[in-house]
Amino acid sequence: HSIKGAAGSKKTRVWKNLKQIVAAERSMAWKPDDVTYGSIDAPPSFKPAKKYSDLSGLPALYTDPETKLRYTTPEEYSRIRVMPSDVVTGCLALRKATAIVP
Amino acid sequence: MLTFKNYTAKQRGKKQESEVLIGNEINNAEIVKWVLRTQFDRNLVTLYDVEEQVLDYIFAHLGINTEGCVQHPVVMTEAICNPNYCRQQMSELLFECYHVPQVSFGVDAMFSWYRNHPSPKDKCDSLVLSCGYQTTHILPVLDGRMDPKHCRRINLGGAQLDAFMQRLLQLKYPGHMAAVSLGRAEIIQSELEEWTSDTYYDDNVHKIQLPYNAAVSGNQLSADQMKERREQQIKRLKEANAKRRLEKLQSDEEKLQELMSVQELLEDEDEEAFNRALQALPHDYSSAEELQDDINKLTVSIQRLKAKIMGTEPPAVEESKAPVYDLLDIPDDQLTTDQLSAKKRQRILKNAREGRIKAQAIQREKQQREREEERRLELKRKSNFVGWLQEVRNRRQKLLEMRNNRKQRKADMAKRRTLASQQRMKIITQLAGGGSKKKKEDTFGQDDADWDVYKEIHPQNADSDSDAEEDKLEELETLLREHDPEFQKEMDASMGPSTEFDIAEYYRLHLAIEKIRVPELLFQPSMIGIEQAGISEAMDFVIKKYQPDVQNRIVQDVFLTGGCAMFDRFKERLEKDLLELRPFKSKFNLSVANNPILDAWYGARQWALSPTLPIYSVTKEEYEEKGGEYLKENVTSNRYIPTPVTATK
Repeated sequence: HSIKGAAGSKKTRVWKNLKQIVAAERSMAWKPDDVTYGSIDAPPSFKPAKKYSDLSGLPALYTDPETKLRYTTPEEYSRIRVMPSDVVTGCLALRKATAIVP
Repeated sequence: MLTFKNYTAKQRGKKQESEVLIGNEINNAEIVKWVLRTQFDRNLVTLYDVEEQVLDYIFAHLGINTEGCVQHPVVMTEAICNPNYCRQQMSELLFECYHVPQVSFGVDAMFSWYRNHPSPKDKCDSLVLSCGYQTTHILPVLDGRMDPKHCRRINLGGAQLDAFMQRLLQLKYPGHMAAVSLGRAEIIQSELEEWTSDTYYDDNVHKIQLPYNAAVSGNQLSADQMKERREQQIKRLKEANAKRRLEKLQSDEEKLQELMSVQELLEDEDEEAFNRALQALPHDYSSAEELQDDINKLTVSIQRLKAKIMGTEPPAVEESKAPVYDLLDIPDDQLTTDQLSAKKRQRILKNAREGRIKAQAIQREKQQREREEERRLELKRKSNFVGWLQEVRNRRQKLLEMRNNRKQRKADMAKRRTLASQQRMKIITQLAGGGSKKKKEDTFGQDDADWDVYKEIHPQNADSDSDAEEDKLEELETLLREHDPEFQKEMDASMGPSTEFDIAEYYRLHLAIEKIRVPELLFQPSMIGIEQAGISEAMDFVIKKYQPDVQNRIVQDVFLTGGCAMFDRFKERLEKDLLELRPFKSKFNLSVANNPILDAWYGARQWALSPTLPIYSVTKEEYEEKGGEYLKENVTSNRYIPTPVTATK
């Protein structure tokens, strides 16, 4: 038996998701010393990110200007040139690097 | 002990009352029709109806048969710094729905710590690294209580590592995208935890050094079966075609019979019957000549069909009688308007017919020429082998060059600032701007040569001519392969891997560097685009928040727990990083939980069995009095920070 939602109502109750909960918590009037779920997020990194090849995972020394993929060896570059575009976007999306060029 | 994954599966169907499978009842999590839901959103419980279903499942499996209520005290884990809202909802669920008498909350990492530090003197200062499924926490423990203010959480856990592994393999093997499912990736991940190395600097230097592991050979359909299937399809198509042709033949013959019988009527000089029969026919024949024409056409098509069924070449189409073009010879002004239109029609017909004859003649010539060429080649081969070989090779080389040029041009058209693309833009602007002098009439398509412009503009279309070329190339190559001893060596050198296609090899996935890349994600979240610091950096950040003497104390007991701590040599990697962070010649100690995955449960069990449980549980009366957010703090729990009440005017 469930007490959630009125009996016989077609629409099930909508729960708050993580973003809403965190936003609601943040908007409350906490004391400066209080700790909330949102306050313990790790800080961004201070060191510059290391670059790895999108094809092989080895440290990437070069970047292809057309597709913006990173590669280590010339063989990888020849493979990049013939890669289908959906794989290219997949690699970039994995790195969250699919920004639209202005 | 009951372990299962927190998933419910429901059929994506029309019926509202479709069956719900929970936890271990789900056999195959990948079936597309079922909707998988979990009550978690990152590491917080947000969907309480799913949670209710899961709790039902748990209580049913534990054999609790009391109607409508659970008469046992419950110890439950919650997230670090669990929001009050979540605790409120969970308490509400437990107390109101299940009528639990008392509830105690604790943090899973702390339960594990509690279990691994049994004696009182161990309970001092420590740094707990909890590597969970959705998140990783760095949690300092001071005097046996966790210090939430300086705790930090990285939003990466086992789930993200699984997804990363899956995406990497999918991108590496685009042909197998469907086969690399999340389930398979998870299995690989769990195996990784047993035999992967995390010290990545040394292994990455030379590509050759990496070990090649034939990991997964996911055969859904072996290639032989696919070939068979294709052949069957082709056979079926051929049979269907043959049947269709037979049917058409039959219907044509019937029609022919009909028409012939009507014609006979005419020959018998029975005009009236003839006209009546003409009217009865479906076609609208106005004269006997049209009838004759139709009969001729039908006989010809029947002949061709028969020939095709036999498989022989259809006979060349011959016009039975030359059409009459008498009107063309008379000059215009002597004709009436009707005759003028008739004359135009005749002219068009004549042009069309002449054009067709010419085209056919040209084609026939071309075919003859090719056949002669081939005959000449064969003769030459027999007489002068080396010369012939050279010629074949030259031809092949020319074809290859043409293909390369076309590819290069195509690539150039895509890039900016090359000659090819500039030409392309010029042509497009000419066409669009209207370079022609006539402004009203657009006569673009009437001339066949006009359409060739598209070949120049659109880079894709240029390739469509190459099919015939490909065939020629293949022919030449097969000839060469048969007769030329050196050709094979050349091909091998240029192409690299052999042309022998090993089917099993095709279905094998190589997991070389992914073994290292995926766990490395925990240390470098930037690999996936997440802006947070990795484990080592975050650890450094947390440690530096304290005074140096406290730092030293904390670092003496760094404790690893959670599923992801089971990666092979994870501890060594962390020791190396910690050595880099700490001052010169300072000491530290790292320890891993005895059973990283299940120690939280064992710790909670120990806690539940301890006599101090009633002190730290919230009873039903207290819940009703103080609300769902209330938490009795204990060794293992979060700090209780009540929600601030906004002053209302």
